[in-house]
Amino acid sequence: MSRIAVAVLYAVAGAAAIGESQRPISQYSNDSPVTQLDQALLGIQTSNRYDLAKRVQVLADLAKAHDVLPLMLAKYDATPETEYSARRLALGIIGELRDERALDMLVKILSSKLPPDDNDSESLRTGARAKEETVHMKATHAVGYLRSAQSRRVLLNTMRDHESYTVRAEAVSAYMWNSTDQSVAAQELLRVLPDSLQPVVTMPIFDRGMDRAAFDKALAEWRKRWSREEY
Amino acid sequence: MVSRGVLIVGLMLLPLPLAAQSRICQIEQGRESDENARALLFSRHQCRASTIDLFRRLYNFNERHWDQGWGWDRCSANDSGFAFPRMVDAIYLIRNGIDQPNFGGWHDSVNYARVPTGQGRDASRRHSYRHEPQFTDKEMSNKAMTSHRGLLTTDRVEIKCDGFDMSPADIARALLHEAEHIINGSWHGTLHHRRSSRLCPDKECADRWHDHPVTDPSAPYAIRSTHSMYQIEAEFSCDISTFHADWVTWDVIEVAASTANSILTSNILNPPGWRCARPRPMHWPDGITLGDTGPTRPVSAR
Repeated sequence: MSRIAVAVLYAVAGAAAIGESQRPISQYSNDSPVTQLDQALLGIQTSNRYDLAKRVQVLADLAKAHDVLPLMLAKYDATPETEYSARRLALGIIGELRDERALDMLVKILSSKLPPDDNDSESLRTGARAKEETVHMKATHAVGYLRSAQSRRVLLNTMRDHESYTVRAEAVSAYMWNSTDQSVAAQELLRVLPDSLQPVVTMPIFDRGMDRAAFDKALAEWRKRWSREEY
Repeated sequence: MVSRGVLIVGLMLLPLPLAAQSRICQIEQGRESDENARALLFSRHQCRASTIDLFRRLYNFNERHWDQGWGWDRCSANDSGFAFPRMVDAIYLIRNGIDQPNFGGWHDSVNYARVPTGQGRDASRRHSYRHEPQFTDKEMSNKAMTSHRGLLTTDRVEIKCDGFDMSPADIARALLHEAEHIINGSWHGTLHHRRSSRLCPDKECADRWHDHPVTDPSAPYAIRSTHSMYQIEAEFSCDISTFHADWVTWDVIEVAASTANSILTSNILNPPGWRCARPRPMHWPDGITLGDTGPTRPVSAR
């Protein structure tokens, strides 16, 4: 078969696979909630900027009709440890559901030990430890988004006790971003954090949609206060 | 009895890569997230002959290195178990993954695309090296990719068989990283990472950050100034996460911000002072929520 023919064949197959995840929710209504949830998650995983809102709406409709959180917690537990992307997706959805019942499981994740150092001398962040770290980072996002007194305490514990500096820093960022009054939150954190984490508190966030002038101003202020050869 | 000299000559006459010819770098398939990402990338480039030829030429892939079990002629959606199609996916992502019309990131795709080429357009950054696959000898190296440059060395980036067992975005950032090893090196070798008492007292894991302004959307910042290895990785990962092209799907972008933040906190001696992307559970635009879950914070500098 020519390369072009093979290309066309797989393009059609790929489109068909993506099309499956784009079926409207009504077509799944006879499926069990678990099956519907799986389809909705696959839809989000393969969504781009054009169809994201539509795919999220599918999940939102499902969440209105069913108690989705226990299903998501079970899904996270059942996902193989090495399926890092699927675990992050599950944690992301759990976080977006903003349900305090998830906190125990999130604390359990953040209290679990990371795998040993990857011994990857190039540090390309492709080993088990680096990948597991990204799961813990996602867990800090889910905790922070709860925006409750209890979740803030969990983040403070994570900043103090987590074995990874990267995760501790992510907890600082999640705490700050989810705080209503950021100047108060910053003062609070600067009082209790060790020197190594203090610079993270006021780091500006680079993101699509940011106010570029505000970003530049915040970055200039940060550099004035914290910039040095090494900290 | 065969003398030692005859034996050596006899061995030299043997076709050399006998063992190598029988080896195939077969990469584990079936991880759903990777497969989705590859299906997406394939649906974009579709292994068009012109695309493949361009990549082979620009990024110095030679058939004699890639044709023995590495998948030189294997490029279909079903061939992601081979190394070469994975390189095609990664390079396509480097060349096309950043949003061009609405650009506002650190660099645009045109600039990232030049970094791992053998022939950069900017004469001051001209370099020439190959991309070659290598079977991993676990006893010799635990690196997924290595860069080589020197007076008596073929300038090249070696991608170990294990190094292909990464997501397209991971391969892409690793290629950029290795490119900067070579670009920043001198005639006698590549630039090495540094040790850091704070970050890595026992090994070389850190780079300096070379600051440059954020891109003006009307004039993308060209990668002409020095970029360290981890710096280019962090900037690319953050750009993929935040200023990705519209077609890029969630499974490609979702981990990129975490990767960027990990690098910024763990591999940079003098952090630039920013973090990548809002720490929201799902990296969704404002306004997209799962039902009535309260207001979300708008994107802010902090």
